[in-house]
Amino acid sequence: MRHFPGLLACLRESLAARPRSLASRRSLAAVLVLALAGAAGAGGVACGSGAKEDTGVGVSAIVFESRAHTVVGESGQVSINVAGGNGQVLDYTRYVPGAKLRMLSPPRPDGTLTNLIERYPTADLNGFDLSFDAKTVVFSMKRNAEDHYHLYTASLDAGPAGDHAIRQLTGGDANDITPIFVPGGRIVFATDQMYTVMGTRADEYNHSRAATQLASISVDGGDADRRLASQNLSHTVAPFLRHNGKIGYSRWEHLGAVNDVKLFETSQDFTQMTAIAGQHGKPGNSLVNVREIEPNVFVAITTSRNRTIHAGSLIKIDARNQTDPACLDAKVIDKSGHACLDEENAKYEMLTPDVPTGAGPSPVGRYRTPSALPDGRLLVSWAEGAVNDLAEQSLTPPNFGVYLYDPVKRVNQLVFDDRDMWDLNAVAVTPRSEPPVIGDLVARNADPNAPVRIGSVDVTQTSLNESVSGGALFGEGVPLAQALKSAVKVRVIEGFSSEGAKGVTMFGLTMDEGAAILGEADVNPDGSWLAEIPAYTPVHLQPIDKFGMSIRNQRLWIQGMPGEDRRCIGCHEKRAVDATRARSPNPTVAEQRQAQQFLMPVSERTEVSWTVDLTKYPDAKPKALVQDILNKKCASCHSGGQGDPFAGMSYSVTQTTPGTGATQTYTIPYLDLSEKPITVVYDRRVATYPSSYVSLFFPATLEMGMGMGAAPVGNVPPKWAVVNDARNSALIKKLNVKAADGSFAYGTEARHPEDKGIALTDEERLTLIRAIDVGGQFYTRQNTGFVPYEGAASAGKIYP
Amino acid sequence: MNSKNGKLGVLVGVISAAAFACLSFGTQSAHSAPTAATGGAARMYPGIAPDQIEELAPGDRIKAVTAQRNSMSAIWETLEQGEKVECLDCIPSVEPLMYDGDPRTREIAAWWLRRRIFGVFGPGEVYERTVAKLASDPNPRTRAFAAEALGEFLLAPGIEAVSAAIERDADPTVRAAAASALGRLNDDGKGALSKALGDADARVKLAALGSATKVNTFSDQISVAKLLGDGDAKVRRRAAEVLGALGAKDASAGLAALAKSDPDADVRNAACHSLGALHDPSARAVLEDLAKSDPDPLVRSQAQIALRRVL
Repeated sequence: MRHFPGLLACLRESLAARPRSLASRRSLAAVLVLALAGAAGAGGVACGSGAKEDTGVGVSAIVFESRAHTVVGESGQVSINVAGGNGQVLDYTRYVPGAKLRMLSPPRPDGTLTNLIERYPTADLNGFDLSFDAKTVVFSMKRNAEDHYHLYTASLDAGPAGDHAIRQLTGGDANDITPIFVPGGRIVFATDQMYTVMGTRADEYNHSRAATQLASISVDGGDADRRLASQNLSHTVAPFLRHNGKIGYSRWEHLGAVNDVKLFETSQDFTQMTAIAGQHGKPGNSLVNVREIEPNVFVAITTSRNRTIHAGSLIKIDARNQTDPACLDAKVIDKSGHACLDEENAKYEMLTPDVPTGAGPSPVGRYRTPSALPDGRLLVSWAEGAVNDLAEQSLTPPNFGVYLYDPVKRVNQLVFDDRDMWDLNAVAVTPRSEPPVIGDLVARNADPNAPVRIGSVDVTQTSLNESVSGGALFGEGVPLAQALKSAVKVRVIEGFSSEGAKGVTMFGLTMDEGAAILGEADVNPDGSWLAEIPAYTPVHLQPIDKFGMSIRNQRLWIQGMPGEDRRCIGCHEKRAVDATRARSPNPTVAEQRQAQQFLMPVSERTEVSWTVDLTKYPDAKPKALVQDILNKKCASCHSGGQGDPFAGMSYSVTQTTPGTGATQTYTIPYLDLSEKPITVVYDRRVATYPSSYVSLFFPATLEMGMGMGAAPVGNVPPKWAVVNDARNSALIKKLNVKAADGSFAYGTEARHPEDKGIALTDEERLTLIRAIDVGGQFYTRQNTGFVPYEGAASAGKIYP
Repeated sequence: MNSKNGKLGVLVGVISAAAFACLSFGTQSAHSAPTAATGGAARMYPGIAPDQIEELAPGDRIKAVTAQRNSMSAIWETLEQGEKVECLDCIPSVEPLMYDGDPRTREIAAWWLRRRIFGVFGPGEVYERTVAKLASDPNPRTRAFAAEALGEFLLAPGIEAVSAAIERDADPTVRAAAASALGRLNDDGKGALSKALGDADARVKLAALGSATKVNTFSDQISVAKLLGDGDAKVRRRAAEVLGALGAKDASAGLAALAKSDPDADVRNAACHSLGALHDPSARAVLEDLAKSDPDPLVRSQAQIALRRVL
C-alpha cells in the first residue's frame, strides 16, 4: 500500500471548513476528481508539498494516541467498530484492540514514530496527558478485553533496555479514563467506581453504563492516594487543567427535560463544583474536548450528544468578564481581586462554521480533541466525510488524522495520519508552567459522613431574566427577582437514578429522575437560608412560596464533599462580581440560627410515593402515599361511579399492528382518582399504574408527543398535573390552597373538596403539591424496597 | 488486526466525501437545527433553552428507523429520544430489535419497550412473550437474548425467569446471559447468582462475577473466593478483583497465595491490587517480595502501591 500524505494534505485543505457556495463545492468536487486522477497516474505528490517538508508545528515532537476501529479475525472476518463509540458523547466502553501511544519526532508525516506501549498489542487507550516538564505521560489503558481501563505512567525517553518504564497506578474493578496531570504531583481522571449508597449509578438514561465522576491519585502512590469526587446523576468526563489550577470538565446534565453537556470546574480537592460555560445558551447541545488557551478562554468541540463519535465543530469559548478591563488584558498576570469568569455571559465563536453542531452529516468533516501549541496555533484531529452513522452504514470508518488548523484561513495542514486508526489528542512535547497548588478546603481523610453546608446569603438576589406566572401571587407573570421575594422556604431535592429503585422500569410518566425531599429550609427575613445535607449527593433546589409551591425549579445538580461549605449569594446571583465583596462581614440570620439538619438516612427522607405494591415489594415501607390521600378524600366522587361529575368521560389511543392491521384501543378516564388499575378493551389487560396516576399525568405525556403521532380521541382533560409546576396544574387550581396567613393561592376562598363537605388537611394538600413540583414520579426508593450498597463510602468501608 | 484501506479505497473515499459535500450541503441546516424535535418537551417543560432540552423522536421516525434497520446509531438515538413519546404502533417494529445481532441495539430496544405504559406488560404482550422465549424457545441464541432483555426490563418477574434459566438451561450462553441479567436487575436471585458462580462453564462464572459487584446486597464471598483456584486465569483474575471490591478480608490469605504464585501476571496483578484494597497488614511480606522481584513490571508497580495501603 502506498500513502500520499502530501496529496492528502492538499485535499484536506481544500475540504476544510471554508464557507463556500453550493456551486463552488460542485466545482471543487470536479477539480478534486481531476487532481486525484492526475496525481495517482503520475504516482507522485500534488500541491507542491514534499513529504519531507517541515509542517512547521514549531516543536520537536508531539504525542498522540492512535485508536483502532477495525479488527480482522483469525478466520478473516472483518469487524469494524465505529458505532460502539458513536452512541453517546460520553460513552467510554468502546474497546478495540491495537491502540498505540505515539510520539512523532519531528512532527511531520515522515517523522520518527515511537509507540510507548509496544509491549501491549491488544490494548486500547482512553486519554492521556503530558507532565509539566514534558518528560512523562499518564494514560488510560485497557490491556485486553477482560481488563478495565486503568492508569499508567511512562517515560517519553526510552531506558537502556529500550522500554519506557511503564508503571501501573490504578487497578481493580473500575474503569479509570481521561487522566490529566494537576499541580502538586497528582493526577485527576474520571472513574466509574461505585462508592455511594446508590450503588452502580447505571441509571436509565445512561443505560447499563455506570455514570462516571472525577477522582484523583498521586503520581507516586496511585490508588493508595485515591480520592473520589462527589457524584452526579450522569457522566462526568474529560477533565482539563485550568490556568489557576482548578479542574475543568464536561458534565452530562440530565435533570427532568434538561439533557446536555456543560462545562464545570472544581478545586483540586473536588470542592466548589460550579458551571463555567454552557448553562445559559450555547451553539450546540454538548461541549467536549476542552482546553483553556488563555485565562477563561477555551477551545472545544461542540456537537450533538449522539452519533458523532465526540466529533463536531471547533469552537472558541470566551467566558471572561467583559466589564472588567483587567480580565481582558493578558498583560495583567495577577488578577486576584477581579472576578474574571462570567459563565452567564460566555461568548461562543464558531471556528469551523460549516461543520454542523448537530448529528447530521457534515459536508466538511468533523473535528476532535484540539490542543494549543506554544505559539497559540491549534493541533486538532480531523476526519473527512459525514462522520456520523452514514459512515457506519457504509462500513467506512471515519479516518481521524492530526492536523494544524489555521482559524483565519480555515484550512487544515496535515501533520500525521495513520489511515488505519483514529489519531487523537495530539499535544506538543514541550514544558509548560505548572499552575499553583490549591490547598484543600476539606481534609483528604475527612469523615465521609461529614455533612455539606448549603445555603444562600439572600435568596432574592438573581441575575436571571425570567418571569414567573400563575395564581394570585404572580398572575400573568412577574420578574423572577420580584417573585423570589415571596420565597419562604427553599426545598432541597435529592436526585437518584433507577438503580435506586429496584424493579422500576421508569420513575413515572414524566422525564424526571427519582426524587427525595431532604428538607425545606426556612428563608429568613434577610433572605438567607442554611442547611446541612449528606456529602456526595446531587441535589437541586426550589424556592417555594407560602403555599408550598415552587417559584422556580433550578435545573442543575449541586453536590459537595464531606465538610464542604457550598453557600451561594442568591438564587443564581450575578457571577461576575467578587463574591467576597458581595457578602456582608456580618453573619446572616441563617448563620446565627444554625444550619437546619437534613441528614436523615434514605429510609427517613421525604419521598412522595404514589402507592405501593406489597406483593412485589414486601419489604417496602413508604412514609407517605399519595393514593392514600386520594382514596380517603377524592375517590368516592372521582372513580366513575354515581355522583362522579366526569362519569363516562374518557379518551382513547389506538394501536394498529403493521401487517395484520389489527387494532388495539386503550382508554384513559377523564379523571379517575381511584387506585384501580387501568383496564383496556382487549385481553382484560392490566396496566402498571393506577387510574389516578394515569388520569393526572397522562395528559402531560400526550403534550410531550403532541403532533408526533395519532391524536387521542374523546374527552381529553386539562393538564391536571403540569410537571414541576404545581401552581399551574389544573388539579391544584381546583383544590386551591390556604396559607398560614389566611390568604388563598388563587384569589378565591373556594376550596375543593371542602366545597363538597370533605376536608383536605394542609399536609395532604402539600403532599399533592410536592408530588407535582418534584417531577410527578410514581416510584421512589421507599415504595420499591431499596437496599443501600453495602460497600458505600458513607459506611466507611472502602474510602479511599 | 489488519488494515482495510488501500490506495483505491482512499481515493474513492476522498472523492465520495467531496461529492457528498456537494450533495449534502443543502440539508445541513435542517440537521443542525437544535429545536426541530424539542417542541413537545418545550411545551411540557417551558423555560429550558433549546440547546439544553431533551429532543423527541416522533412516532413516525421511530417506526421508520426501526423498520429499516440501516443504521444502528440512528436506532439508538431515535429510541432514546422516543423515551416519552407514546407510540403504540411502534411496538411491533421495536420488539424484534431485542433479538438483533448488535448488543446495544438489543439493549436500547428493551429500554424503550420497558418505558411503555401500554402494549408491553399485559397478558400475551411483549414482556410475557419474552419470558416465554427464555423458557422454551428452541434457539439458544434467542433464549440468551431474551434473558438479556429481561435484565434490561428491570422488572421483578424477570428475576425468577432468569434464575430458572441459570438453574435449568442446558446452554452456557443462556446461563451466562441470565447471570448478567441478575446484575442488571440488582438481585442475587435467591442464590441463583451463587449457583452461576459454581457453574462448570467459564463464561457463566465470568458473567456471575460481573454481576456480583452490581448487586447491592450480594454477600456470598465464599463462592467468589472458591474461584481463586479456578482453572481459567480469566476467572481467577476476575475473582481476585471482585473480592477486593467486596472488601472480603477473609480472602486475604487466598489472594496472597495467588499474588505469590499464580503463573499468570494479570492474576498476580489483580491479587496485589485487592490486597491493597483490603488494607491487610499480614500481606505486607508477600507484597514486599513481589515489589522487588516479580518478573512483570506492572505487578511490581501494583505491589508497590498496595504496600502503601497495607502499612
